[in-house]
Amino acid sequence: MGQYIARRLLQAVLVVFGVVTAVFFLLQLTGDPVRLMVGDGASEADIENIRHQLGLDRPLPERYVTFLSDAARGDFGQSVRQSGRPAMQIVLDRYPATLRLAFLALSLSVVTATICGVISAVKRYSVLDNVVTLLALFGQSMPNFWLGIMLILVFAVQLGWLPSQGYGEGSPKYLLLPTLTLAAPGLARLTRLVRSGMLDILGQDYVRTARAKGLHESGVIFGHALKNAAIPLVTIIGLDLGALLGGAVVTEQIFAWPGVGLEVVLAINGRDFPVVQAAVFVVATSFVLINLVVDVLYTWLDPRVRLT
Amino acid sequence: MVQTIRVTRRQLLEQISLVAGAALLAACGPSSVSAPAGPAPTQPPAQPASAAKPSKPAAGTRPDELVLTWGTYQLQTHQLDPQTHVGTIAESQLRHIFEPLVQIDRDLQTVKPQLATEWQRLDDLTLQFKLRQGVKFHNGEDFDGDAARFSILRPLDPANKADARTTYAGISAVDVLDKYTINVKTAKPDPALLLRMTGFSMTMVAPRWAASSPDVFTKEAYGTGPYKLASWSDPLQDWTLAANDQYWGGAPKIKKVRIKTIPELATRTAALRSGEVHVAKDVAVEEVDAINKSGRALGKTTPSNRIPYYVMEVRKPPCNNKQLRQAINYAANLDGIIQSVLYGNATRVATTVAPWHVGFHTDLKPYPYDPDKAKVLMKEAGFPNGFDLNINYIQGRYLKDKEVAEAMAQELNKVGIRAKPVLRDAALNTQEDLDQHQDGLIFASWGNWIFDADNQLFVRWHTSARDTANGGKGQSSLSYSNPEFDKLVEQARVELDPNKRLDLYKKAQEILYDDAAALFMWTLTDIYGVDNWVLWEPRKDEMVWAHEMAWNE
Repeated sequence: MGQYIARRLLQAVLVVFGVVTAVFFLLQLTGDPVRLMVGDGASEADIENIRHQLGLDRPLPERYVTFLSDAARGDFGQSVRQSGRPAMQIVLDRYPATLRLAFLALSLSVVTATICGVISAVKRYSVLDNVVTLLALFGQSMPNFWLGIMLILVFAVQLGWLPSQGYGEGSPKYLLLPTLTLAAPGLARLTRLVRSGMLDILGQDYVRTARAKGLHESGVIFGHALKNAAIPLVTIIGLDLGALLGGAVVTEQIFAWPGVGLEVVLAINGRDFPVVQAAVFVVATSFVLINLVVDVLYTWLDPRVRLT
Repeated sequence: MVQTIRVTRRQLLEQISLVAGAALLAACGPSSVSAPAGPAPTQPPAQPASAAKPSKPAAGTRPDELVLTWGTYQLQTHQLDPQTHVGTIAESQLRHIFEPLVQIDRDLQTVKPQLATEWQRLDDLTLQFKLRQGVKFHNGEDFDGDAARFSILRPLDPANKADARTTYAGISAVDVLDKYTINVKTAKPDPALLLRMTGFSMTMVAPRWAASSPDVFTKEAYGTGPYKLASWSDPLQDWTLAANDQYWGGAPKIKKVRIKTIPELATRTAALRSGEVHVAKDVAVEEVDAINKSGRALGKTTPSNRIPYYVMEVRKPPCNNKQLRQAINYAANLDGIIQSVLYGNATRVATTVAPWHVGFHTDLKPYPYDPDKAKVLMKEAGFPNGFDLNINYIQGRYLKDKEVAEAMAQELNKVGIRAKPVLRDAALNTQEDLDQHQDGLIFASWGNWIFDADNQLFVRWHTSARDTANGGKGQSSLSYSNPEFDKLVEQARVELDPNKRLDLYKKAQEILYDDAAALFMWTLTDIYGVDNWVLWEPRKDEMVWAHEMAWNE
């Protein structure tokens, strides 16, 4: 087990290194940060001066080597746009808001998906099942930004129940619409997964045995079937959480949510290379680590699985 | 060991089932707490008590705080430092707190006293200001000659990294004569000096505070303005202002103000319609009808100080031919495009100078739509069968920029100009511009922040702009050069007699117009959404100031 984890950690480092390198070179292709930064009013001398300060006048390979050695020490340089604040600090300051949204969306989708999936499987082909399946299909195929705007129009503009956007200094009512928007696709996917997993297991011999020995139906469903159906979900939840952390970009933009996604969009538009790199590093690292944890958990939850 | 793990594993799985089961029961029960029933939330969640809100504010009580909204986060770059920013949104927000010595009025022509009560030109190089007495900064520091001197010189110091430093670089010294009299000196005569002093960088900051440490501007803001900073955490979150009841001009009518940024246009418009924000800059042009019909807010428009135009690359074919350049101006049918694409939200200008700028040529009329004349010009130039033309445009920055470029291409094609719209990502556009890879029409836009023709005609069209651009290497969008034009704008730059100066600028605009150095377009129209609770008319200079508003009660 220890050896396995060590190997996976090494792989994780390689993956993050690859991602960070790819982003470094891609960013170089996308234009000049200094021009965008200074606006129309600056003179050429000012521009050259800033370019020199940022080291953008040095050759690319040299910049890459410097970048790597700094990054290895956790130093992603200073923000180009934000008066030289450390890029990593800017990203980490935004991380809690994103984490809040991501974990809440994940909890919402896991709980709701389990409920809906179980109902659907137990009452197979009933009206309820059809409704759930239809909604799941809808949820999975709906673009996120459209759903977000529709939710705003219904709950904020028409009904006036919830704020349309904003962070509201952390007040819970501001969380609801962004959470729903962010959770929808994963929720739909999980529901379908729970449903098919349950259907699979409800046809197994040990379920028939459990029923034969006179167990109450709820005991059969929750005690035996769901427990086993839950195992593959862990993998999907891990992937989902990674995607939620990195993929909140659209949701954060729509709801003006001050998280990593919003920060990174602004950084990309302003060609703030250091901030983009730090954000990609943080998200990639989280993704890799979460999936490592999930894999380890998996062997624990299902002893039949062996890591080699 | 294995045994214990297995037990815990089972326990964990059991607990998952239990939680799920409990949730299921709760969801089925009559008093469901939350959670939509399905993956697509078609069922409304229960209403949290704290979110209760009167649905018709017009009949209810007036809002407790005024919420002003923009679509762009501009404070990320320099946070609360007013003197180093250049953007109009940052200016609009921070000038609730900070004021300059003099201010431009709503007509964008009259200069009004602000922290200076009077001023006079002593000689070609000196402008004297009498300062307002008895004014204190929000932190208790006195506003006086020393504070004014500190504030004027601060953005000139390259160490402070003021984005618009070059606009003010002509100021050579500030002499403090007595506690409330200062002389501002320039190295060369500068007819636009008074207008420069209205600029955002020339706002007054509390000197001891501003000099105390480099990061004070990330936490606090101390000016003399009608509002004080009430709360601030970071540039991506809402922040608030409170009325300065000791304000020298009288306390503002609205006591609490919230500054909010909503980047998504649809969300911004929705927030206005739901009454969460009261003044929103830039709402969706298609939504103005819906806003007006909502009975909650109105869409209000004003001509804007921002002028977009397409520069012509006059060194490369086809735009190296003056007749072809004129033909493009005659054939683009910009009046038609204003109606059909912009829903009337733009006003034509003959060149790149707006009617309210010092030096504007009143009698010069914009190129009319005249396809026949365009065809004649093309024939004379030797291109009776048309020519190829690239329209290098950017998308998403200004009202319908992409649609305008596409409509222009269509119109030009009608007279045989084979125009092709080429989308340029904003940053990439800059790079290709610097590498001089572009030809044809190149998008540009200018918001002249000192409202004087010099800060457009000289800095964009004088030959020195071409020759110093990009460190002397040149760039596609600065290609114009005309010695006759150069002479006029050079003279105007140091001419202190307003009438003579206007004549010089008139002649300069005639040359630029006749040379058709650009496809001259329009001043944009700004569209604001204003809640019915708020009394306010928008300004042309994009400033949205709570101290110019009042509650409608």
